[in-house]
Amino acid sequence: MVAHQTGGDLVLVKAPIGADATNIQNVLRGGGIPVRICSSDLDIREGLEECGALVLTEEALTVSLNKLLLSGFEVQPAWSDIPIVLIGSGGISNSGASAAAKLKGPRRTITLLERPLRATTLMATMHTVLSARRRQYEIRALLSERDLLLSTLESRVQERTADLRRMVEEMEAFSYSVSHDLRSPLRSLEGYARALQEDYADDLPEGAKVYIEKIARAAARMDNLTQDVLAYTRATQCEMETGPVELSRVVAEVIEQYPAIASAAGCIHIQEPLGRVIGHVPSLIQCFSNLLGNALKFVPEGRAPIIRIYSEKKGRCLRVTVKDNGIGIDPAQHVRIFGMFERAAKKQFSGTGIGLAIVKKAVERMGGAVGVISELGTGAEFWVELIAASEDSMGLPTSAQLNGSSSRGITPENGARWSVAAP
Amino acid sequence: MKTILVAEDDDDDFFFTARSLRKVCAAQVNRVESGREAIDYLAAQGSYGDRAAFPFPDLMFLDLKMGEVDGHAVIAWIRGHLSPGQLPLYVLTGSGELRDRALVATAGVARGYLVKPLAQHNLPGILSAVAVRPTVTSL
Repeated sequence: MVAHQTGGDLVLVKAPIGADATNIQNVLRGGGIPVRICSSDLDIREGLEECGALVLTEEALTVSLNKLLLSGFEVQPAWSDIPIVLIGSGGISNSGASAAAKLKGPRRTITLLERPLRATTLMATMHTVLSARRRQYEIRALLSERDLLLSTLESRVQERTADLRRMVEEMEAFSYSVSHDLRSPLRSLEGYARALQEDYADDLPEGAKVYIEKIARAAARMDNLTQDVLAYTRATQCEMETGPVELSRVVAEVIEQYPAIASAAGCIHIQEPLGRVIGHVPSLIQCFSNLLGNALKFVPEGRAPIIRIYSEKKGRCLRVTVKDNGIGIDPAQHVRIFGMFERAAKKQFSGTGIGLAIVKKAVERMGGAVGVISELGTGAEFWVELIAASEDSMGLPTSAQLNGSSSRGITPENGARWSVAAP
Repeated sequence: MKTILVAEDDDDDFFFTARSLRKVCAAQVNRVESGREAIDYLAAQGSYGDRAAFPFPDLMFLDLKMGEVDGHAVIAWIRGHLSPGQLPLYVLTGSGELRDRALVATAGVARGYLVKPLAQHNLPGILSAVAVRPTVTSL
């Protein structure tokens, strides 16, 4: 007999009258088809799962077998549709057809043969139904292959996700360590140079003082570079969970956190409220500290900086602009300045050339865009466009909104409220 | 005389902090070099059992990244063992890492979060708030 585990051609036969069963068995075996004669319903139930087809005579189809078959067919796997060959008693009563009708239902393939039955007819029918059954086995094989692939795919996805998470954690541990440990000797270098200048100023020749100043500045520059590279790495790699953010709060936070910006808070004018965007708070703080730092830095000697921060709706985005009265940027340089280590300004303005690259990276990762409007000598307007958050939870509408005027205007006369940032 | 406790594992960093403090006040500056020592000092236990020699500080500066028992663990200990406001505490750390800032803010024990080096202009405000008389009144 064939191994039935994988699905074979075994045909179950139930034909209770006379020599019917033996005759059918002889015919099928003669054609090379394995047969098992079932004398009870129990035999059928046990063989149903592994069989290639059922051959039943009309007389075998008792009420109890009918019931057994109906429930057996219902629990078939998705690929399975066991073929039944029903041999009717023939004659004019057409009782075979009504017996077949009783078995009808979804996913049931019934072939009705009428007596008198020729061996060749039976064999031809059996070849047809068994070949259909073999196709079902092929589908089963494909399905199980697919399931295997899917299950390994899932475990591979899980593995990859775990790898990625581990990488992010390592990355964070690395940057934490860099920000603490790598900076520590630089701080000492600058600190001792300053201490030398302060504590031994009287004993040092002028030339030595110059060298010490250069050491201190170099250490400070290296420290700035370290911090900026770190910030850039974070802007590129950190997990960025975004949500609705109140921009006025971000700007207030920047002014509070950065002493250099806080000390110039009096010249920063903010059009309140700036509105809400979808963003990542630490990244936004990083962006606006860089933009404000630049706006304060690139001012010609002798000119007091005036910085304005305002926002306007642009479709589904909110555009926030930081406008300064500084040295301005040649339009030919506008693309270049957002690149890594790129600087447009002269050497008198110190910097790492990373600040705007950080802004661009971070804003793009939040789904926004950055740009600049400027001419040489006319100040610059750096803008950041981010997806606007719904205004629902913004509280009371502003006077500008109540008056129906747009927030485009930036002068205090048109209803927009201005605040001078408090340090 | 007032006592200022500095928990700092790095010799250079301690030098700069102590130097800054010496410039603006005449307080006694004591140093502990780990979180474990900081807790021992505050609890007057172990080698810091003598309160006369190691007075409870009027002001404390705490580094965060120190060996096995770090500054966050010290803050947790302070939260659990000292009454609120009993110890004016400032975190003085090497970085403004958001993670550290958030942890310190959540614990709610420290009065401030300072990034090294200790800025001279910060000191008069801090010192006068805890009644350590600055030797220089204005900077």
